[in-house]
Amino acid sequence: MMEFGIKGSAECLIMNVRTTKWVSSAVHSQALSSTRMSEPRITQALPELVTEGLLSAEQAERIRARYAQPQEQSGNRLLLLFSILGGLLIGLGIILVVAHNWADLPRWLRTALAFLPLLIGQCIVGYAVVRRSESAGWKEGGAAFLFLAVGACLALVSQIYHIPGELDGFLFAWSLLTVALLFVPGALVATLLYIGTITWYATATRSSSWSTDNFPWFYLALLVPALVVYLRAWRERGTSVGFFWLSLFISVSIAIASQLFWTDGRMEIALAIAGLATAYCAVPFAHIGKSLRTGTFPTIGMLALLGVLVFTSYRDSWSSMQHDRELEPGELANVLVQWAIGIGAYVWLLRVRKPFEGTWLPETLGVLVLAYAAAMISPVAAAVLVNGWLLLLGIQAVRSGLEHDSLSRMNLGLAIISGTIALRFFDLDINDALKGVVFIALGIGFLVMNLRLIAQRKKHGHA
Amino acid sequence: MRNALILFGAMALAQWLLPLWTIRERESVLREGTPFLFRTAPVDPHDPFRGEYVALRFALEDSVIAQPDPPFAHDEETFVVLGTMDGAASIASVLRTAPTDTKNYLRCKTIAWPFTMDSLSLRVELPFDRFYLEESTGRRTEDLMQQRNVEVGPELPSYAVVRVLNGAAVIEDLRVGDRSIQEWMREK
Repeated sequence: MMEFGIKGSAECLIMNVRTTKWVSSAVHSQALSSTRMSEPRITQALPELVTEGLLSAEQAERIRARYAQPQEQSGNRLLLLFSILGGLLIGLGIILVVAHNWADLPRWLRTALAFLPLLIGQCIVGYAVVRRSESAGWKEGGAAFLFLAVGACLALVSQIYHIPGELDGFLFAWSLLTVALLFVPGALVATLLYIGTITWYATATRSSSWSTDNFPWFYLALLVPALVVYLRAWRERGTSVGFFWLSLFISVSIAIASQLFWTDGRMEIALAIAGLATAYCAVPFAHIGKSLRTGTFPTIGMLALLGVLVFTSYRDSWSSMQHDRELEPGELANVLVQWAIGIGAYVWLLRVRKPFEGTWLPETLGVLVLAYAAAMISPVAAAVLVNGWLLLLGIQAVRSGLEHDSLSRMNLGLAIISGTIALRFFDLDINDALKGVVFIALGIGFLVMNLRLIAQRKKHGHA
Repeated sequence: MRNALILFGAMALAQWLLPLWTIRERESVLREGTPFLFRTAPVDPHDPFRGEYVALRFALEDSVIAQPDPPFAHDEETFVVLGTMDGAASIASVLRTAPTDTKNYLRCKTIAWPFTMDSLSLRVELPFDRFYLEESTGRRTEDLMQQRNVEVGPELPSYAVVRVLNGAAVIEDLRVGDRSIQEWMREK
């Protein structure tokens, strides 16, 4: 999990020629970090290597020194881990105890108990800010506990006075009262909890009435502080594991929330999704030369683009366009914003990457716009265009995989090609035996290509 | 450091003020408000943070009220003056402005739907809808209030005891027959 990021096939797929150096340095740093993780095995093997004469005693000692971790650092990490786990577990425990609802206790006692965890949490965070500003353990553990204590306090007051209101209102109040924790003490775990809470708020708001245009507009305002924290972390600690988690939460949160501003299906919505997905795919190009852990963005972007392409590869998707209803004003705003983000990202990409250089995924947005225009005249033409593009994407990924000696990229390409062919075969009313032959051919194709790449690796001494 | 402390202080203060403000308002209603009995029927959902509760549907919300002239629109704020009929709360009048001669009124939203081609039927949405319960008592409460699976003899009416003061309301208790729901639960 910790190695997620640059090595994923999605990011490899969007790599271009100019970024090769960046990727190789990133892979190198990933390799280093994974080597560090297996440090005990390396040091354990040293005596054997010395005995066999493969290493001199001096070399072995230098390797040992290279991978030795300062005792203090490893102790601090352990303290940090236990602080976070302690804060989270105690906070969650309090919420569960509160959810039991101790109706037999007098009201004044329950009210006092509601504020006790809050007071303790504030004292811990206050102490961390004033006296232990250098200690990540105090800040992270204290902020995580305070975040959950605020939720417990609100929940208990709601219970005691039977305050009406659905879950979305509760989550909204909770988010507002904890947003400052993103900056003071600026804790990572509290930020992740905050992003999770505002995403839940947006989903709860929308799911309370899917059929209306009750869109979670406040989510956008609540997201701004999280984005500020994210961009700051991008500059200051983009290579850290913590930044990977921030990238994961932010990318998933925006991907989910951006889908909560529709009331019903419409073709323009598919194109809007492709717009945002294009921007997601462009994220790694914003830090060429720096191996930041932003891998979740292109992974989600690639999956979304492939999803849209599969959906629009059906003729019926385009032919039903004529019967679509008018877009609601909120939906129209969302479509336009996501298109603008996608087009803006593509135009920006032209500064660092030539069209069709490396991967062709970013060009998908243009193909979909062309297909949309073609569908006005002929839905069949639009579907043919999309299917052709899917096959081209697959072929290009296979070629790129073979060139760069990447099994994952080659298999992704093969999966796109065979998936497209399989989908069209299910559409067509043709003989089952013929379908079977084609599937066997696809399976053989997979095997042959993989064997070929493995043989190529052996030849070059990789395997 | 100074800015961080100011931000932290403001956050800590807000974390106290919002719940305290809510408590202050509710406590004054509980202390000074007039109790009314609202006939109710429950369903039994669960909230992940606040635990089990019975969602209450009130008979009063089903009463169709005569539209004044000019008529109320849908989702309009209104002031509902309460009276009593056969011991239960009833609607005495529906006003556009807060009454000055009584404290026994609720601030509600209107529900207005087309009744005939040229008229809207009028109902009101009460500003309370749930009663939180101890864990694992929701189903039994619902059964009790709907007279299912329980030997309580002839059907007993269920009521929410609600304190009302100057537009605000707090549910004080839930009653089945003449006993509090807590008393029923202690019997199990």
